[in-house]
Amino acid sequence: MVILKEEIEIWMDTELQNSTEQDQPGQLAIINGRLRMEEPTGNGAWPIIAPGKGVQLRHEGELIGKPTVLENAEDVDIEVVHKPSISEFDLVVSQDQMQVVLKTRFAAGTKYRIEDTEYVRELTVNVDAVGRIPPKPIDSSLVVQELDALGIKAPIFYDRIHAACTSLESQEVVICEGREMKPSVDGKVEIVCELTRRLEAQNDDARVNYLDRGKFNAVSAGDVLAHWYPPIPGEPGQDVYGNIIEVTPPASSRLRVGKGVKLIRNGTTAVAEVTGLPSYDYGVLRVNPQLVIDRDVSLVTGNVEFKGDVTILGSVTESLTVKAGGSVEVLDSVYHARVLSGSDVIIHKKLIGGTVIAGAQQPGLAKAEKLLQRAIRGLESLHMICSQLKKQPRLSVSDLKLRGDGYLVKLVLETKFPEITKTLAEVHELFSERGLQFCDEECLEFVATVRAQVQRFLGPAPLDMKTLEELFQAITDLQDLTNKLDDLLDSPADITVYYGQNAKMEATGDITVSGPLLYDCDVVAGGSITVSGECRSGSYIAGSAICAHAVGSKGLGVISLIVGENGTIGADTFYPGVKLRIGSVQTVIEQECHNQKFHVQEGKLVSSAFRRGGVRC
Amino acid sequence: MLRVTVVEKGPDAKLTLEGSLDMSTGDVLRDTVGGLDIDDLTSLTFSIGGLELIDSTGIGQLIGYHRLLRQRQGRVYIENDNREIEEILELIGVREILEP
Repeated sequence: MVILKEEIEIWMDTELQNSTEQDQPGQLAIINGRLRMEEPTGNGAWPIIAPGKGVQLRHEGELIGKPTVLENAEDVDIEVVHKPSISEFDLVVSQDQMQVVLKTRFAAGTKYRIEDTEYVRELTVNVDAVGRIPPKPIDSSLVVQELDALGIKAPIFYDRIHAACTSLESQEVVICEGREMKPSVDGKVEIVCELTRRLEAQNDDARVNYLDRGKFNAVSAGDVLAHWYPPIPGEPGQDVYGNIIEVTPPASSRLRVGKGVKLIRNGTTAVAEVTGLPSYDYGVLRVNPQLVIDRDVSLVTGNVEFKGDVTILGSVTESLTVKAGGSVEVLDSVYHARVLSGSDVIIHKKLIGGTVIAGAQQPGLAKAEKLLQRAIRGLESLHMICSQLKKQPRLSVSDLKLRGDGYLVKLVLETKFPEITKTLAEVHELFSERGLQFCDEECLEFVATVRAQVQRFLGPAPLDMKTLEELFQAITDLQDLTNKLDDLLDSPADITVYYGQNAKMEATGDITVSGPLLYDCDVVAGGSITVSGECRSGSYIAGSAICAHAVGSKGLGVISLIVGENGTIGADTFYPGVKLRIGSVQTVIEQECHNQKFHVQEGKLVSSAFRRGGVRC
Repeated sequence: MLRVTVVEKGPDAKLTLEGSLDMSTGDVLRDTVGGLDIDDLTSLTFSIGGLELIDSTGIGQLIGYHRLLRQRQGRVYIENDNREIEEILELIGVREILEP
């Protein structure tokens, strides 16, 4: 068969024309959620389908994960993969196995639908989010089962589990706890007192007082020094698995006490039995009532102040002060210094210059007490005499009605009782401000009251009294103050010294000079004054008695000896010029006399033999 | 009322007092003593036995004369034979200061 070229060309043109009209690619689209397909025409390419996110495509039952040529839309199943909600839990046991924590996690899911598209040759099937899928509660029993599976033995908080499982909010909650171990508490000793040997001096101004280095630390009897807190055993615990957690037994430390300390309250509190210096050495608490200064009290040591007893192995040197709540013993001498002691004072050698006070913290108190007692006796007589005078028929009281009874009081005071005024003036002077350097606040207040009361009898003040009742009240007030003064003075404290010169001594008890001489001193004793040797010049006042080997001297200085009205003054030898006063009776020795003891009998001074066998009162 | 009679003028003067020596009559005694030459007096004696009444002002006045004369090395004496007045003088202590 012959095919002509022309026929071939016509055929080719026809074919070409036919192919241009029919080579369209196939296309796919999603319309209203359904897959539509347009088949290709001619030699057009076939469409391709691929799954997008959230979509699963199955082609003839097989899941396709990559772009696939699609021949027939009916062959493809499109499945939307919704994002599910989350409702899950986890149980966490703490590291110490004391807690179980339930961790819940809730999260909403997402609902999708297929996204419509235009016709395209290569179609990726995507989805749109169209809704939320809420989480569901967790079944509590699952939690309980899990706890059981873990072997948890400790008590379970079921209510918390239920609440956490149904709240639909992610949370962490403790649903099981072990029992905490209670640790033991170690025994403890707590020292509550100051243990420093010497407390720093408090200086109010910027100046430094080199003599004031601070008080020696001391506690008073009865002060609480320490507490003991006994050990407290702990209690074992238990973890969530039921395992016992053992407890360490407590460390025990006891409060040990030594001399001067007492335990009370079942041994839990230590109190000082005595006043003194506390120490806590080698676990033993002690109080030493005695402070020992192993050298002179001098610029090196500074002043010494201590609540207890003080023993000085050397001397007390010029301008220094030793102040003790207890006794003071000086093994050597005291030179122009001050020794103030709440109790006895013993100076083994000399006292030269200076002041020694035993039993009273303020110089002058003991002397003032003696003077006031004497003055009060005189004032009582004054009152009695004034009362008698007013009853005298020949005494006109018309002037007293105008001027007040004080005029009569002053007249009799000046005429008949001048010594009362002198005595009270002396008390007033004793309590002047310059003499009150050792007075504390209570003492200062008291002294001011005494001064004011004494002042009522001095100068023109008595003229202010309108009636004798006022005089009586003033005397009563003064007596009350004197009684309080007596209370202020401590129980009798003695001074013992070997030798005294140009010094001042005051003791609420006795004063004894055991050596050869007491010279030009101002001495006041609540009890007696005993001088083994000579007592030359000065002033000596005692409550009960004064006795010496020799009193006075030939032409050297003035000496006065004063005792109370029931007292005695005795000596082996009295030299001329010695002034004696017993109560209100006084005399001056005119001639040297020996072995005499003076006392008052029926208002008159009498003498008897002074007993020998050692000088004693 | 007080009547003062100058018995002797000086140097050892003596005055007799009668009546009442008190706050209201003291001027009478004062004027009489003032009439004496104090500087010439060695002593001044008051005879007071005739007094019916005396008060503390009057006694004070007598003591004042004692102090005045003592400054001039003189002395005051009080003569009295009236027991009740004497008791007053003793109670007040006048005798003790006049006769040390």
